[in-house]
Amino acid sequence: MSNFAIETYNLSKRYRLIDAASSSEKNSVLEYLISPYRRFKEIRSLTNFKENDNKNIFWALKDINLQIDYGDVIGIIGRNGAGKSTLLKILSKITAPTTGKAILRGRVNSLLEVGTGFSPELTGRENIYMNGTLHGMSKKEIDRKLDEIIDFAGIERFIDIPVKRYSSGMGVRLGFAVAAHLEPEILIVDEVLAVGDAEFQKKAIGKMQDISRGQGRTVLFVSHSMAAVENLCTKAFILKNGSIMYSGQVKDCINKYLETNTDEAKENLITRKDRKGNGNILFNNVVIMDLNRNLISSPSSGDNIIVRMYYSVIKPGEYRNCRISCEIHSSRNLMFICSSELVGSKEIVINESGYIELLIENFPVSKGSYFFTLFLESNNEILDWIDGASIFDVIDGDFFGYGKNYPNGWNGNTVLINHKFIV
Amino acid sequence: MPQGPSKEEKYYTIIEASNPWKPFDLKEIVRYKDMLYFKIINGYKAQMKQTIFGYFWVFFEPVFNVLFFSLVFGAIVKINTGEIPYVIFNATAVLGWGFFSASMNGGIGSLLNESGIIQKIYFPRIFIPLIPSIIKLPDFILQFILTLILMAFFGFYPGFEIFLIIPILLIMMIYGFSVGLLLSTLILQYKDVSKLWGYFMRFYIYAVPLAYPLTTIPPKYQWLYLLNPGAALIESFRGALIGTPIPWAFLGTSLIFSLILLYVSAVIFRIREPNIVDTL
Repeated sequence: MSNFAIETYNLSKRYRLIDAASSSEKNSVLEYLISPYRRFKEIRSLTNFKENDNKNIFWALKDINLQIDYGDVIGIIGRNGAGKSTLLKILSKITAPTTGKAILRGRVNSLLEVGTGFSPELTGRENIYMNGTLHGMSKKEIDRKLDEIIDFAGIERFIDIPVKRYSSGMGVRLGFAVAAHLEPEILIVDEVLAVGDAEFQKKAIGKMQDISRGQGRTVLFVSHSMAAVENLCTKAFILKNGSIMYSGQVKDCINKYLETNTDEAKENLITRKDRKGNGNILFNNVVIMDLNRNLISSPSSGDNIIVRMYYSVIKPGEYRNCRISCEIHSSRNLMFICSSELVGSKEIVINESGYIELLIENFPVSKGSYFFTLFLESNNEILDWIDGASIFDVIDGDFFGYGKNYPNGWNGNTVLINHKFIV
Repeated sequence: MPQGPSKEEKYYTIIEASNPWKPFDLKEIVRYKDMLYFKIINGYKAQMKQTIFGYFWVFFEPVFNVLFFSLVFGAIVKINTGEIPYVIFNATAVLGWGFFSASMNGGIGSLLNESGIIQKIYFPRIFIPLIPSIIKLPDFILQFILTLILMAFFGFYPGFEIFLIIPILLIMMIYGFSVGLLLSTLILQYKDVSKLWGYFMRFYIYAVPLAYPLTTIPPKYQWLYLLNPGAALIESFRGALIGTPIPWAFLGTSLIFSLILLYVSAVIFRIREPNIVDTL
């Protein structure tokens, strides 16, 4: 008898991508008339694969072999499109692998989204039972844990009110509270700590630590936050283009990942594959400039800078109601977000390739290396989203206007704010 | 704190590429029975919340249908239903048809309606097409009582045949569930199926003896007409309520058809089930 909680053998998953642009092309009456047949073949090809059939094939996972011990807390790290979610979906039985096999020993629960299956018309109490049983709990188990769940979510007063009247924070808390009380032997978690307010996140991470450390559960944990992975996990592996690139202790893994990030951020943006969105518009470059539009490679803390994001329109058209956002990350943490829906009221319309500029006054981070994450959507549909689009260094500058910098040797990446001690 | 393998053998999961010949995992279905219970209860509660008329809506569709058919076919076209007043003739069929059609319609759209959940949580998917035919039962009982009152008003009282509606309802549920199994996964991939189904049902209501009596059909073709399970079920359903002759043989064929359809649908569902989220 083998002693692993989770084993996988050559687990692979194949998808076919239907090219939306080609399927709507109609050049002649004949093509128009036979288009239903073509579309039928296209839709059928989503599930119909022949041997040696490579048209638009995409292997989301390729030959994943894992052996995970009981009680291990494993972080899965990787870019968008690396296969993290696909792997979790296969291990949670949401979709079957194309080839290969996985064995899970123990009661499995997966938490891929907080509050899935909540019915807005039902009360909090009704939804606890609904959601708990959806995750495979029995009514008796929920009866026993009901008070604990309500207490953890902190919504005693609202428990008999329809969930649609809840604030989004309350909904998240309730969803997590149910999930946190599932008591599986194997827990699969995807990015769920990225929601909720700071206090709740702290509570949620604490609960996750209890589950994983104190109670000897096996946990698979996906997060973009290196801090959370480092905090919770003992081991980790890096997924890249559907394969395991590296696996080992969590510290080594994170360092390795950050190294490859740095290498990739130097690549040409348009050829990068690790992006999400429909690809109708793609970012192709991002540069930093001073206010006179001279390129600068390394801004100083406190500089006024312009971030110019270049994009190419791949599928011609008029893209209305665009929302663009630019995040500044350190290697481990999100520093801050600039998003067009938060400031400025003019509608952004894109109809040809070009660029958009973002003005940041008093650039508020300390010296160190940072990454841009760029995001663009139109009418709530994501066009392009690329993590670690480029890397740049920030050098010590006089942010505070007192001619002083943080002391030498201090090398944390931090956000700077103007402050004054009252003495 | 490493621990040994789960002592409970039932929590041993093997995940493989889909294998349609693997039977349904009955243990798992039993383990999730509480989910089925809450899904039905909550689904029923949710459909009436924040409506002014609440449970009165249950009566709206049959009353509307009976008024429509009685006006068009009873009063204007003047269809001859013999000694039975048209309203009673029609209302008894509308009651059965309402349950039959609703359990089929509910089944085929069920997976699409729940697509948000099936992409994020695993549970036995077979519950989803099963729920609509069960969830219609309470509505049916309320409508049944209303129909009995209407019958009594016209001097019709059911006899012992009334108990026949239980097996008839059961066969109808098997149809609803089978059609749901067969088409709900297809609809995820080919959205055209739901449009076609809508047109099919518009036609199908006239392929059962609901607006007109069986005697309208030439006697030598009646056997062909009654081979249609819907027609046999509706004719038998009316017989069970008001004592018109019951086409026993064709009630039998409709049962056989329903079991064949159930088997075929279950196999097809089993083939498509593991990858349904990929087709959304």
